[in-house]
Amino acid sequence: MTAPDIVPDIPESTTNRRRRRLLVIVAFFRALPTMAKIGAAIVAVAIAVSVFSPALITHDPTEQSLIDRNQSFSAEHWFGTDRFGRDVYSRLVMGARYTLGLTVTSLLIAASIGTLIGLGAAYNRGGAFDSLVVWFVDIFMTFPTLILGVIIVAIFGQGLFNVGLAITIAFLPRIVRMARGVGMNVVGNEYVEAARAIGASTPRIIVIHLLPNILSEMAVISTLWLGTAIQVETNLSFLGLGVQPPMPSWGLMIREGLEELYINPWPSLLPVLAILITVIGLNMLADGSQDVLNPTTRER
Amino acid sequence: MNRSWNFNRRSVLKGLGTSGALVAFANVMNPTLAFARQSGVLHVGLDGRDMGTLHPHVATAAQDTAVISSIFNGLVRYVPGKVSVEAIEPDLAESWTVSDDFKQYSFKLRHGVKWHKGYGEFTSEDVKFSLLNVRDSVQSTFRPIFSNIERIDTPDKYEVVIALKTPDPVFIAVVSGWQGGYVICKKAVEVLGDTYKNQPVGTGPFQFEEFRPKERVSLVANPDYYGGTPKLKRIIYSYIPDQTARRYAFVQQEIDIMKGAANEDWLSEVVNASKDKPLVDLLGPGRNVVIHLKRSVPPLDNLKIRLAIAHAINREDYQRFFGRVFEPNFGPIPLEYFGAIEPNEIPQNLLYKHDPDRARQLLAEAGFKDGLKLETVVSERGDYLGLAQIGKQQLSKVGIDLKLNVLDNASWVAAIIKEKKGSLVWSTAARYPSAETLIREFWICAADVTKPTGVQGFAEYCNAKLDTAYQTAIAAADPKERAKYFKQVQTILLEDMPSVTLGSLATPVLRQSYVDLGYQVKEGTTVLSLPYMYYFTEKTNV
Repeated sequence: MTAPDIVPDIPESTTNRRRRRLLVIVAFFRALPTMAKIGAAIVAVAIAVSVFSPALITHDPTEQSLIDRNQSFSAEHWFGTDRFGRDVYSRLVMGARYTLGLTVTSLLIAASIGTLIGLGAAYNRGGAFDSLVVWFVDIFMTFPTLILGVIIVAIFGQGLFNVGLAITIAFLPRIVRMARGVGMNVVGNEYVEAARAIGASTPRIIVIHLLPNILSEMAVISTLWLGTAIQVETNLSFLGLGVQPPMPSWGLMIREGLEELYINPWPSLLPVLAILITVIGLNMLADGSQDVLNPTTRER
Repeated sequence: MNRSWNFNRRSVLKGLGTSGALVAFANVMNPTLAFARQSGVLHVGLDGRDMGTLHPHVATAAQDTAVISSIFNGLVRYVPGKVSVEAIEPDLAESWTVSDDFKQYSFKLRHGVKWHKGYGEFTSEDVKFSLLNVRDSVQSTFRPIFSNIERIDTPDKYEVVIALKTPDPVFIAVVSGWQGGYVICKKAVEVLGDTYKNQPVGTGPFQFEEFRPKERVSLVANPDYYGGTPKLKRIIYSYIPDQTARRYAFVQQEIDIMKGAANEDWLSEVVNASKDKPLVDLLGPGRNVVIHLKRSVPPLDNLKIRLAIAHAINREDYQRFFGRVFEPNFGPIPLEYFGAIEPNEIPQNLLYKHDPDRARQLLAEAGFKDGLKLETVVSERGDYLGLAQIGKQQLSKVGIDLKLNVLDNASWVAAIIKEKKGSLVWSTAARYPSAETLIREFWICAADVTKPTGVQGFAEYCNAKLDTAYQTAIAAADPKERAKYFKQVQTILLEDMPSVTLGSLATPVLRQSYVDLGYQVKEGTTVLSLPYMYYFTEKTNV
């Protein structure tokens, strides 16, 4: 991450690369506006819940106890039970793992592949590869992400892996276009010309010289899209195309609870709140990050 | 004036939030008046998305048959609330006689019955046209039921004589007002052609008025109805597939009658949330809830595995899940059906009660001491998915790991019928309440889905002994003899266990307290009503 203006001066003798990187991250977060800090805290909690969910659950999230169905909040079942008598708290926590784990992984893959393709197109501006990429991106961009996701799941079938694939493919053209645009700004820089002059290969120029210079912007953009990716995953699961029952995901939990919304709203309402809070947190973090990284807004 | 507008995400979100709150507030303060309660107009909320067809010889969907039952008549009909041969009473036929060999039925028709919309008088020609239309129609799935008709004679305008190929002591039920038994208008079919299915012409108390796609069908009173002018001016059937939306409309008294969810908690909540205490009726015949075990999927071809699955099932869990709507049953046929085997008639060794230890023992004897894995397809429809998820949990407790691949309902139907997919197939079928309907459709050799004649024999089961007992039963004139052989069929099914029956599900229907059906229905009891909706007669009123 390159954010030279917000990193404190560190004497050359006492810095090493790892420490400097850590300090850059710390400095970055310290420079964030308060709202973005709150957003970062929300995202951190969501990710922590997702990572440590097996240790956090109090019951098996798929275990039914029909004698205990639709119970309210209690010491035994913190968020009550659903219509099958399953523990809602445990399903919510495990749902975070499925929803966040799936979307983060899928988006990370889309971002990795998409950034490289976009940079390749930017470096080849006006060439055959660039034209081909732009052509494909234009076609895929005509589909809204959810529709594209539904089409992909319809082709490959339902299930965890295919929903991940759907999210990756749905976001790939958007990331390619963004990486191409951002890459255009750096591709004409002198250090790129210099690298070319000394005979560096195209892959080397892209990976060593271009990639590090757009990484921070791409990271922020990807974070912003994570909220949309969560919505796509929850929508697909809500439509019955994503995570398959009885395993929990937030979208599936909303769908399953709808039938008894008037009897026991919590199994639907709690995942709605979880999605709402997480997406708001992500948007707050992304907004703040943009403010810090964008030279025009940083000075305000 | 040069004024600049700056929008950012936060301001747009604030604006949207405020607008949403205002819209929600406006809705709360000014509920829709479009459905306001009207005197003489009955509003019915159906659970379907849209009309399929209103041709009675083709329609099978519940949202269509509910409407059809108010438009058409049969030669005979059931007393409202009952469905059995004993409950049959005259309708378009005033009287009938049966030959001693049960091969000829003669009907004297009612005089002066008028077809809707000026299509003239109802005569014996219409009866002949109608019955032959069902028997010979490739579109009608009811044609096998009418295939026994050999010849129809019409000696005069008001007499019909039906000759059968083989004796049928209960043929009178075939010409009752239901499905292929509804009489259609010959002249109207000739004039309207294919559009008859969307503009039906019948003889019933209400005539078709208007259809708005995905919204509603309306019927108006038939002033020439032979039973007298109906008290209701109009019936409006609205398509409200979402049960939460339907519940809201009912609680607001925007609809007077609605199909409910098969869930006692849900029904209680609606009753408690409503202003006037509405009434809940459980309409039958019950939907027989069965898990078919596909023989072509090893190790389901092993009887011990099938018996292990039967012992793994705990019917109490289903009772807890559905409440009073679900009635557990150990025999293959719902208890209110004619010829059903009662629990006390089932031999002890064939009464497969919940016994996980016995299930595990049977699995071990079959060579699956460490359990086994199965995979199947299931519909995403709430009742099927609920049944499958409970079943999965119960099987997991005895060591059977069942993977569920959830499909939308239409894809699931295609998967199990056309593509013969799945290992465990859930079915919830309701038919005319006599044992032969379910046996014919699910368990005789011709029903096997792998055969060209098969439609719903998902277990791919065939036992010649069962077929013989079934044929003997349906040929028997004496009801006791019929019942005896039907019970023999069910004993064979329990021995072979091609399918595990869990019980039956009633169809709950709710009515506002101010609705007068025109006949007495004892609240809370199972009312037999083939269209899964109340019969609306000339005496019905709001």
